[in-house]
Amino acid sequence: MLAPGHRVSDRPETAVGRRPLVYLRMGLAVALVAAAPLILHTLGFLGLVREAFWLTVLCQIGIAVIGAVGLNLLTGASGQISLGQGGFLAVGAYTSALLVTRFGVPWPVSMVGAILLTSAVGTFFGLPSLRLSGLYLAIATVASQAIILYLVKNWDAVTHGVGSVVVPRPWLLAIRLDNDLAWYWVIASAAALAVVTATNLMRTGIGRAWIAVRDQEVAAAAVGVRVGAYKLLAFAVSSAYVGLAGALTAQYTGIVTWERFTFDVSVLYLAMIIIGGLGSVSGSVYGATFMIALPAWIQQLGQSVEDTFPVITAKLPAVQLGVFGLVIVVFLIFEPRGLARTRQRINVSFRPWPFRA
Amino acid sequence: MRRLSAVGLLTLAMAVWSCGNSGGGGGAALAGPPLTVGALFDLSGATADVGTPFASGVRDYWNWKNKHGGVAGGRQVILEWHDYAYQVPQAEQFYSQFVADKAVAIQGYGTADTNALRDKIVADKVPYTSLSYDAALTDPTKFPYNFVPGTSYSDQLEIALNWIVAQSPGHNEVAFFHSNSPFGTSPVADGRKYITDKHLDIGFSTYAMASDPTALTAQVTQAKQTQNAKYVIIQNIPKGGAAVAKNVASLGGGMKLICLNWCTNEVYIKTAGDMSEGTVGIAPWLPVNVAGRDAPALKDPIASLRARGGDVTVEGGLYSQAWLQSSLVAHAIDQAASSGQPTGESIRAAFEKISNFDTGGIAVGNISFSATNHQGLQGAVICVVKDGKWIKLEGKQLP
Repeated sequence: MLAPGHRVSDRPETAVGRRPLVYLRMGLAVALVAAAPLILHTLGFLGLVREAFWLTVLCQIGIAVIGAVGLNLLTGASGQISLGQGGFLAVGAYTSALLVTRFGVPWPVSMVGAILLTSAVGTFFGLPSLRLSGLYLAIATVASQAIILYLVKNWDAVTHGVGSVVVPRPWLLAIRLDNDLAWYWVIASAAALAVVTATNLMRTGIGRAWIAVRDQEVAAAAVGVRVGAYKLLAFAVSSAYVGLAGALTAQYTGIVTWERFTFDVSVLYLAMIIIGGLGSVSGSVYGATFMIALPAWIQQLGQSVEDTFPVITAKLPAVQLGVFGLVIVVFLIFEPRGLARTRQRINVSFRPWPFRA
Repeated sequence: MRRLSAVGLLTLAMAVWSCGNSGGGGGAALAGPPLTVGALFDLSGATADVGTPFASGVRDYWNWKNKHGGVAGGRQVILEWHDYAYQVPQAEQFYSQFVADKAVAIQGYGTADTNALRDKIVADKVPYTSLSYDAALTDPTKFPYNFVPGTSYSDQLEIALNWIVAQSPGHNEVAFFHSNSPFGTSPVADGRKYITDKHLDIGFSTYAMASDPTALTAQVTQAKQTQNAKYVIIQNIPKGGAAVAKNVASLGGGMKLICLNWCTNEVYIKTAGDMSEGTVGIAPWLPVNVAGRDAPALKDPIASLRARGGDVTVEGGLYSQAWLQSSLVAHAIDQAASSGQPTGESIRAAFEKISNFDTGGIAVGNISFSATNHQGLQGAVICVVKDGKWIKLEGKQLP
């Protein structure tokens, strides 16, 4: 119930005057995603960028968006810190790859299988959240990462151990998905679906229950929110998204190895959502884009200065790592609420334009 | 805002500066546009101690070749190389870049990534040499575009087992310490099969080397006391081999170390120090001391290594090996160009016609390929570390 004097239409998110702007933003986002390959092709034609490289980066960003959205639902919206992202990605990837290679399952079905299995595994490893929270839960999820990776590396009969599982190129309605452009459309559609469903989920009772559990668990329980059930639901839903991201990784890259799912990956995804903005779906998108594009851009930078500063190219991995850490620290100092908040501030500062600089 | 604008300007400048294609050679195109050769190196990953001198050798060779007439009648070669840190996903990403840049040949690296890229290599028809001497890669029916310029790990293991049997008749316990990767496990299955097929009286146990040194002590102790092994065969790079040597020495010795090719080099002696004394090495590619300083193939690479200020006593062997393997690729490109434009398929055909490619004394024999054989070298020389140098123990041995 609202206090007297506050009308529903005064709240920004329901005020009628704001509606067209939201649809405009959505339209712009869709247009940008749709036009990205064309923009890239033009830039590549002009010789400014390496088109093939950046198209691969865009595909990786798309997959990362799905994973980041999932993690944000868990850590940002529900407040359950999870450092087990790499392990769940591995579950999704190996499930999809093994269903296709061993059981001959069609690849869309294998993706559904991956989503379901990862969700189940995620719920199982989310059980500690019923008793633990904060740092202790983080350690418990690190355990899940370690256990899953150990199983992957040693269960030779199923996962080929430290070797690799090679996935054949899939077909989509008579188009063979063997080039980055075809995959870009598939991944962009999946990412769009993930973003839309996550945004809508946050607006339902489930989303509000999660926020309640995050902000004041005791009060939420007092109000009637079944805290335990919603925590497990958060793990389940989040792992479903992550399973989809893992399955797409397997199908897109065609090679599944344990090296892609180490603890570094968990930290990377956590960095994505922190830099993007905890609890915000659009923040996940910004964070994922930023954290994938940054190392790629540094690598291109390093290669182009190879002739003038060979020292930098020789130490490029170290430079990448250093910049990565520096960026996280800088963001935590200057913009702890992430890029989503930065965007909000830009919006707010433009509202009285042109009456204020 | 002013502070931010300065930062913003700097970032913009760097952004514009960075948006360019990668660096590379590309001098005057005399007889045609430059050719691209791709190369993967491990400069910062698990096998960097071998990868770093090898990478220098490959890069310096192509620079030298460009200055000395290029390939295919005067065409320059752009070596597009990347450090993939021994991570398969990175290798796969760089491979896509090589193909996008129309590389005519690729000098690959590790066992895991070369195996993982198999389907793509066949689909893209790119001849692929590798530092991996995995026996599976030498099968032309499964890997038609892969060429292994060395003796396979399986053959090397068989040579080592034969040597052990010749040294001490009767029952022998052998501990096989290997890197915990496809590179490490590569010869295991073939080794076990060899023992059963030849009815060798050998107890063979494998130990996947943990990266944690304290766990390695436990494994060495297990090999020494529980298995009672007298021979330790090491399938790892010098860093791993040295770790085993140090652990064996700290437990009082009593086990003979046998290195397969990737720790039979001067880097191993430098890393293991005094503990390397007495280690036996299986060498398809010879250490500099074994080849002899006046080996013809050493002349150009050693001069180049000296010019760049490298340490010949440590890097010389791997550097010259890289030099020669790159000259093999250049030779194949030249041969392919003699009958038209060098393409992936024609270079592959040229590789298969290579017979007795002169290795100038730094390998166990000359390199030969054929349509049914993609393993370049056969057999290995057995060496041993004496007084901090590799010396020849026995001449060419075949499995």
